Amino acid sequence: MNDATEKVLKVLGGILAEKGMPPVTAGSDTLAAPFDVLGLDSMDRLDFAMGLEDAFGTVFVTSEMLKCKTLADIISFAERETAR
Amino acid sequence: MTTDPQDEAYREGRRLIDEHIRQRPQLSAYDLFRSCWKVIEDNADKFKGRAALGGFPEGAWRILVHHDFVRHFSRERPNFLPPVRDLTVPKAGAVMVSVHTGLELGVARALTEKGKPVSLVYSPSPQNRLRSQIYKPDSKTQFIRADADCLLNAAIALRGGRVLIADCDHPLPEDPTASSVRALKRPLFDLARVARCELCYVLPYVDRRGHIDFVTKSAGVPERGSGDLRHDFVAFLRACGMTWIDWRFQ
Repeated sequence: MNDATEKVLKVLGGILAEKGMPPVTAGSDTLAAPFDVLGLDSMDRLDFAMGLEDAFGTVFVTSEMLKCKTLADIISFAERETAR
Repeated sequence: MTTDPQDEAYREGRRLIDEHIRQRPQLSAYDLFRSCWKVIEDNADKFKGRAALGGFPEGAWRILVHHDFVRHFSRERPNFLPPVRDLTVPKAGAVMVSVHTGLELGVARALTEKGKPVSLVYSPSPQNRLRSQIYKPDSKTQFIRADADCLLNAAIALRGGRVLIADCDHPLPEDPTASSVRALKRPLFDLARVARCELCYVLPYVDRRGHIDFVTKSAGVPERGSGDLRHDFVAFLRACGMTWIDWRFQ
């Protein structure tokens, strides 16, 4: 598991834990599944984006992030943003 | 067949308005609107029943009559825009929370008229489509659909310096038709804190001249949780005279 994947899953795990849900593991099925199946509401999604900003030290709350449909998309997005 | 006295009184009131409009074709749209609204105020007993007809408390009558009247008046004078009062402009990137009154587009217009970029959270319902036709939003107003990405879109708008206007009340899931009990949800209050921007409370209402006016209060950049802020907001609504709704926190 690379650094970006680890950070994304850690932030997501924190949000899921607050909701009493189990963490997401780094299996390829999980990463490729539509983001919607995670059961995150509007506030969770914002918390997730803000958490990613803190974890990666870059801006995530953008219209580009809204195009991400899977966790794999989010990880790719994080890698692109931090490589800038 | 019996006729509801409130229904009959309201029909009578509308006939008065129609007659008033018919007799004054020379008046400008604004002057005609003002004089019609004076007829409404002078005959308030005929119009107050409009609230009961819609299942609302009497305190809501002006807003309901305003919706009906502006829609009717706009057919007579298609370019007419209902007048809005001056609104204290919040700093860039503020969240303005309100409750459903149907006058939210008036808040948006008051701000855009002052050059403030505005985003408005909305649900695509037939009612909201109708209100858009009545209150004609400025083309620069951005509409954010109330879906799972709503708060992300809202945060993007706030960072872009827009003022966000949104209603934070919802029908109770267990009793969706009740108008005297409403739920206040937490996300908008949390949004202001998480996005670190000013939170303002706003309650639009219709004044005695038929203008859309506003009561506003700034809660600053919130540091408290959404529970405290919702209590604060309810106190604001009650101080504004909106005492007929029992608010539930969900």
